[in-house]
Amino acid sequence: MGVLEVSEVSVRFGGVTALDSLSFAVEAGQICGLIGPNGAGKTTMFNVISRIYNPTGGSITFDGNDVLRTRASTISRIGIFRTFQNLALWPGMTVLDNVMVGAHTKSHGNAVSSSFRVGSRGEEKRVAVRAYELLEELELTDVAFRPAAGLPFGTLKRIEIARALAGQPRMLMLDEPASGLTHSEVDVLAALIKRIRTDYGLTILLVEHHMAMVMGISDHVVVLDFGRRIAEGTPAQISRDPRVIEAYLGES
Amino acid sequence: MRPTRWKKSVVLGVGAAFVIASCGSSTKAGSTATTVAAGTATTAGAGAATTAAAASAATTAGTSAATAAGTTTGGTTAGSAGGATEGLVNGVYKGIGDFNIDPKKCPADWNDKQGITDKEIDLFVSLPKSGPLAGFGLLADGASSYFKYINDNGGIGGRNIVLDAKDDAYKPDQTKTNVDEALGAKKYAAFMTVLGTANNLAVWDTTNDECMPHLLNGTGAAQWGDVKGHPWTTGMQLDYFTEASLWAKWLAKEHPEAKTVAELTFNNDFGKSYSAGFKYSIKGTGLSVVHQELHEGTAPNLTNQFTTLAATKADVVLLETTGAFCTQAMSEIEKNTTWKPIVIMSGTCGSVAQFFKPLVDQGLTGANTYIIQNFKDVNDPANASDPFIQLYQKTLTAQGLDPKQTTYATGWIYAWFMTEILKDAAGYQGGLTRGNIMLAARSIQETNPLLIAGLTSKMDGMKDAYLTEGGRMAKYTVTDPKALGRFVPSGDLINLEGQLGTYDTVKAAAAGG
Amino acid sequence: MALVTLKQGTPAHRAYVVGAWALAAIVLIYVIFAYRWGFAPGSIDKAFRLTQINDVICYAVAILGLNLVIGFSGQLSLGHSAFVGLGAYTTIILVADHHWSYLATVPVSAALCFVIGLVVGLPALRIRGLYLAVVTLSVAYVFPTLVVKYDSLTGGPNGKKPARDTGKMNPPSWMPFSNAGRLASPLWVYCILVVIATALFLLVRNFMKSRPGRALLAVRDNQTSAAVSGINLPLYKALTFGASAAIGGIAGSMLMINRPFASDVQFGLPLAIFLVVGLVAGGAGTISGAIPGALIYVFVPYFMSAWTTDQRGMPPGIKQVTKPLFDWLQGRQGAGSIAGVFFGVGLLIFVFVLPGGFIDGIRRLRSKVVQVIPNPSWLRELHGSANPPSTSHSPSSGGDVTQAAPVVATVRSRVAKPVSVKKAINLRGKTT
Repeated sequence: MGVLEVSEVSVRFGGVTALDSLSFAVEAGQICGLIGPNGAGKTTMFNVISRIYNPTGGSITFDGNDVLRTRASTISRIGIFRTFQNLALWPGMTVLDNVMVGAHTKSHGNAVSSSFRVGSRGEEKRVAVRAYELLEELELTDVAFRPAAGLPFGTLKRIEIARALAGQPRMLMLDEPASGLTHSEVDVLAALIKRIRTDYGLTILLVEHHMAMVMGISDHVVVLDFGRRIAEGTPAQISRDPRVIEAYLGES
Repeated sequence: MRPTRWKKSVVLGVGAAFVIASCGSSTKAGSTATTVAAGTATTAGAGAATTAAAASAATTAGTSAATAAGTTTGGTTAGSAGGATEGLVNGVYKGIGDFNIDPKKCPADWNDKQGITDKEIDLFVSLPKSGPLAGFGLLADGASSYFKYINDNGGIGGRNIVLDAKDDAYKPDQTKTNVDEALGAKKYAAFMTVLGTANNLAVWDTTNDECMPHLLNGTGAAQWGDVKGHPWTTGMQLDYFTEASLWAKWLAKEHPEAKTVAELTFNNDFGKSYSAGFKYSIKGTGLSVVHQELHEGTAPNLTNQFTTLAATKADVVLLETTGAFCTQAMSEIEKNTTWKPIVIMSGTCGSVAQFFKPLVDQGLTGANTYIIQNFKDVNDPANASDPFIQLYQKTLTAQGLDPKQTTYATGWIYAWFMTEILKDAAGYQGGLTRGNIMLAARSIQETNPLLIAGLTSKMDGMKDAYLTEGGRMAKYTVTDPKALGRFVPSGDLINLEGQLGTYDTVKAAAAGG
Repeated sequence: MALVTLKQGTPAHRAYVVGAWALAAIVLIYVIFAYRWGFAPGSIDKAFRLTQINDVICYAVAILGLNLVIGFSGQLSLGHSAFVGLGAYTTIILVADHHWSYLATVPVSAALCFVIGLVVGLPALRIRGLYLAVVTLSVAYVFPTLVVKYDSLTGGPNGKKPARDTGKMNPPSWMPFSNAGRLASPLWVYCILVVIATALFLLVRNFMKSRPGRALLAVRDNQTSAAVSGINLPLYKALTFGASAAIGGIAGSMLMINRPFASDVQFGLPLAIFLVVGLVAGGAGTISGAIPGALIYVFVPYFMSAWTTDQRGMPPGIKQVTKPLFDWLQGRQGAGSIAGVFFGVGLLIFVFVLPGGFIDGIRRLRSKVVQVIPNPSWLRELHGSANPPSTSHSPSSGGDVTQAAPVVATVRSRVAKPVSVKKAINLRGKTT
């Protein structure tokens, strides 16, 4: 039994089937790579787990919680956080504030206590310190007080990771974290992902096109094509699988 | 990463709003007074309609065939106050009709020569010069035009009359700011022709506390006859209460066969003022109101109201409403084939172009609708030989203004009254002072030359606080159903001069029924 | 680069902040004593001008409230005039008909508007952008017609005011200006409004600088990631509408304290549009932008209109630019409306040149003179003042991650005890 159990999940948009009875499981503490050609349904799967899309059928459990009975805004409360393929930071806020919002579910200041500053100052300070430490960890303190808008792509990717970490996740879903990064940056990122997995005891679900990285860090790989699982196994098994090779023909 | 997307949408929305607002106000500014006066009623509802009365009364097309010959008083009627007994006597201003002013009740720094020098008399007006009702700003230009004519002919004993006009965009809060500013400037002798019922109500407590003559309000509300509570404030127009009284008198005289009356009443102060006036005046006559149907400003149409009204089979129907509701009401009546009552409509709907034109477009006419008129139409060819109108045409043309713009003529009416007040005050004991101006404003005896011949404009201190209380019924007469018709006088002049008394009468009537 | 660089927390920076606040306080207090001290720029010793200044305070609060919805939560709401009007009518009805004191009506306005704001905000849970704008605009449109419809309560188109001689706020005798004649009442109103407005500005500032405020900005900037981060979108959107309406309602009550007369015309569509204009021109998404926004709303149309007939009050700096325009307008038919069009076009240009509004312009100018390096107090505790963040890391995005890893673990384990964080960081400083 994995900590994340996806079973028979289907998603249809009009006549298009994005996910077709997809099932897989992720063990606790694993880095699980979710790969497949463009349009295979990887990001759709992410969006289903983070409750942005409603599946037409199937079930998902995370650590015994029924994910599909959880709303998008409370999915973080069961410990699932994610990053976005096309970046979904809040450009109008500073980098530090972005990360502080990541800790939203781990703090309690409400409109009244915050406006009147009753009992919210200690918490504010704690959240700020925690966020700053995460920025230090991800080498982002230089930009801590700058608006998120206009920073380099690789930096923004790391800010997203920092933001997700601020919520003290149990599972982190990374949607193409390596896209747009240089080779050396990818290596750094790979090391970072492995490190935070260890440091934070995370389960990581990783969607990535950068095959070298996926194969390099994943414990387990699930291969999708046209919304179906076509293969599953260790990186070594996957790279030998003829169905995978076929699906990736024409892909670089 | 587009941080400004939400800002852009706001900017675009605001931009669009401005373009619309700009277009709206600029076209209004250039349009004729006919449209402006009438447009008032439609855009701002009954609140605005209160100001429309004077303008549209003078605007109404087709007051030709003035049957009553009547001599017209010249524009330069001499002041009536040679060796007057009125004026400052023993520290108290004594006027006619028991109207006195004790300056000790005024603020300590009250100055009865404020705004009055040997060279100049400074007056102030707040009225809309921007916004949807900007067209009314021409009233001030019209008044200034008449003052210029007076100044060019010697002024008031050598003093020039200067009228400062400030824009309030018809917003009462802005009127209040303007009035406070003018009061604080301590340079004005009097205020005149502040436009709008709400606008005047917003400031009249202050003007009265400050003992500032607040004269000839540009609205037809009956409140301006409150000589006891607000002695420093006067009106000019025929008020709605009196207008409805004229209806009652006219019906009793011209249509003795009519017994039952149904009312369509705008459910606000404006509509109820008509209703109260009518009910007050039918006491002791054979007329009775059998049904009153109220409508709200939000009503999409009047079909339900007229279904009920038609069922009463009343002999007369009163349209105590304004704006587009007038047109809707006339349409409903005309479409009814079985009920043919006598239709009497508010004078605020007198603009043929605004309220009757849409009927023609529907294949209707609005024929045989009656309204009360009391001022002459300066554009009516039948009035072309009127010496005062000739003077008006000549003066405006010489000043480079368009005399066809009838809001100017309305401005002349107000300025004429103001000039007479100043002339009278100058003849009082103590000469031209603000106290005497106030006495003169409550003692007007001169007849405005633009009033329909035979009507009068008089004030009598505490006894008669209303200036114009008469009118003549006119019937909208159509010869070609595809074209616009015109108003033709119907029946004799009715002059209730002095009969209404003060606002107390109106209050009692409203409370009683 | 800026002429002066100040680091947050240093004595120089502290002096700069205290100085700025002191200057603001002096300006606010000066208004009260201007009539005595004989130096009254802009005629601030005149009652009508004080009333206008009080208007600015009221509208600044109204714009502050609107900013919560538009500027901070990114929802285009055009119905704010209705809430301001509702607050105003609540106050004026309670005062005129039920003889309440003005100040007692303020919480009632706030509560009532909060509830109505929540209801009006419900569509915002489903619709966004221009659709929401249209829905809220209809609220602004309907409000004056409701006022006219229920005229027995509201006075209808004639307006509503308290009975004569009961509507004035008079200062207690211990106030230094209690014998200032006609100025006493507007000055007292000024003091009351300044206190209310300052409180509201501080509350909103505190709010925006803390957890729920950041969450609001997150909702504005990206709803999806906000939801995924655990922010309850419907709750925040609805509460924002409610809070915005409540502040708008307070602004309406304040307007009535300043000028106890309510009319349908005052709270119609033009107000709805101009509040948004004031917001954008002042600076959407900034708290202080509400003040220049309100100044623009109250004074620019006023002077534009006044100068079409009388150019005496034109300030010398502006005169050179605007005089030809107003010479051309002088005596022209409909000059007021033409001036209004110029005002609109001018604002439009202003907004396109400076989309961040007036405050953004000020900030850009200020950044040329003073640059403040952020160093909040918790950061100073974290590092000690000798170790600023900018030197602890190289600006390049790479770095020796593996070496840092064990240290981070140390830091993490100590997060629960903030007191020892400093030690941990010092330790870390040695290892790198």
